[in-house]
Amino acid sequence: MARLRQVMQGNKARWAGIAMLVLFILCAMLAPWIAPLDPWEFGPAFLRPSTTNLLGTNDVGQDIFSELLYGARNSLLVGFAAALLSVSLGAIVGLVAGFRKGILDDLLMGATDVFLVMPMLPLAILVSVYLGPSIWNLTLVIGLLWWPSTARVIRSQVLSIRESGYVESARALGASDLWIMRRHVLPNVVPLLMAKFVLTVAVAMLMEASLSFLGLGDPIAKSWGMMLRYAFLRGGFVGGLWWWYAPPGLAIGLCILSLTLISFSIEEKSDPRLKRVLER
Amino acid sequence: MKELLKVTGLNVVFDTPAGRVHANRGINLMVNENETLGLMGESGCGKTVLFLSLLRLQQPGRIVSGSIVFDGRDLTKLTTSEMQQVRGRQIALVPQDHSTALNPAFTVGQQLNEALLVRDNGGGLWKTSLIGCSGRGSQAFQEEVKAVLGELALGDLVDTGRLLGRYPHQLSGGIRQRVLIAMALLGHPRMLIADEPTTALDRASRVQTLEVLNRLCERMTMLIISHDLDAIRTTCERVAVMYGGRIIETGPMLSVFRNPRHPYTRLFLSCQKFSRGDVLPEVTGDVLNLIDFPLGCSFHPRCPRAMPVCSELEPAEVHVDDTMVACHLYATGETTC
Repeated sequence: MARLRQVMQGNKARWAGIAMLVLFILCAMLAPWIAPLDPWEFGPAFLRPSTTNLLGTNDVGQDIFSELLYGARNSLLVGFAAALLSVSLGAIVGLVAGFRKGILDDLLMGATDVFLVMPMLPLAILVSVYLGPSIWNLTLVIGLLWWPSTARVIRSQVLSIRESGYVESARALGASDLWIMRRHVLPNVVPLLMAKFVLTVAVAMLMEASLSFLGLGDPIAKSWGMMLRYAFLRGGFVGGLWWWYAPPGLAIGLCILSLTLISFSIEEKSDPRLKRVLER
Repeated sequence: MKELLKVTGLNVVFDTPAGRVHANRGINLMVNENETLGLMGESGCGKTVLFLSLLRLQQPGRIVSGSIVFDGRDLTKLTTSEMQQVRGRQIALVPQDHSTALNPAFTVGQQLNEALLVRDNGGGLWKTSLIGCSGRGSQAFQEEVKAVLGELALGDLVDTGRLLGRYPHQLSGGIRQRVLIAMALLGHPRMLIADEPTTALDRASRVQTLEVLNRLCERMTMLIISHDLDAIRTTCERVAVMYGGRIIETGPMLSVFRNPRHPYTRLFLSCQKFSRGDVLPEVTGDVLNLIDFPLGCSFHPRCPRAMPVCSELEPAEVHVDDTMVACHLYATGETTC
């Protein structure tokens, strides 16, 4: 924990990012208590923002502000779950490929290359169509398709760590490969994994919004992508009803901004050389 | 005296894009129990490959032939997991570069604990936490670490809490070097290999490290690799000189230092005995290329006393008094200097 705190210390951009993210997470967690109305309840449609409906109502009269709060739950949940899945997968592939080298490395990296050259969004659309619309399928699709870049980054780091003096001396002490991987290699890629995780959350959220917007999400569940979809389909954009489409769009944008800021600052902290590059 | 380690006809090669590198060519070496052997030779002569091969850590190099018999077992025939039992517990290594041999992410205490954990669990994986070197903080554990550090004259630093909680970069080179020795000692090895233990140190830490090594060689078998001739002189009972992947001379330390027989040994030793104002002595020529080494004796292109036979025949190992030397100058039937 002390080390985590150390990593998190620092500049304003980082704190802005953390503050924003905490705000979003709080909104998501406390949605049932702070939402003024039930976002699934129908009422008078197309209301303008007022004191009862802070952001007005949509085409079937659901309260947009409440929708926004509930939407944060699914958007963040998909983002974090998919990122956890993809980063774990990527970490395992990267660690094994980098540490074992040889034919296993060739095979794993070959598979990684195949995934990397495939255009992700069309592929994700294809797979989601097969699996059918549900939040968990979305998570699975994003998680299983997004590991290659993590695997690449981790592998390259592992390749340099495995040649280091302390790995050599651990070998000379009689440590097994698994031991070295766990005790020496893994701890030295954790900062990288953290940065990559946070960034992947952002990518996964964006992906979730894109897929939902295209109609591949759960049509009943509330998420920011779904809100955008309905605003687009039911005349929100054409009619200039900004209180319908702007809030979910802004929420996605700000959330991704905050995650990116956090990710950059972790990366910078774990590799101080980057700082000079960023300041230049 | 009992033989602890006997290397016979060891050949180690590396296959590189430029060709096959013959790093060790027919090494014969013997170390007695409780003896300290010094291994000397210039950079690139195969010293490092030799001791790494003893631990079977020579990858990507391959041992193509020869045997390494340690305590009655041929190490070249052991499986990887059997070899892991030998490393650290039978033969321990003190790495050369103290600035990279410690993991920068963990404190010294955590790394010493790790040495103990590796020894006790044999690298068993799931007995401790997934990440980190938190280790067992038990009393017995602490005592053992303290005892070893005390032996290395680091006890004061432990008592004042200025050692175990520190990260490697916060310590001086001399202390890091002794921490590495401590890590090696925690496995209770039968034999300790010290790879250039004094090279990367300043004058003062060098003396301290030598004192520590001197005390250690009274109670254990050691193999000290160095081109620091003073270090060899103060610690070793026997020495071996390597050139071009071969051992060209072995014998008792005093007799090799006082009366070096091989021309290379003579030149090598003379490089350290010069007084102010003298021209710095040197062994002329370049370090041997181990891909296309010359026919015959590998030293003959640089040898001041080369004879026609030297470029044709590889010299056999000959016993002269108490030393063994591989040089045509001492071949039976030939006249010596």
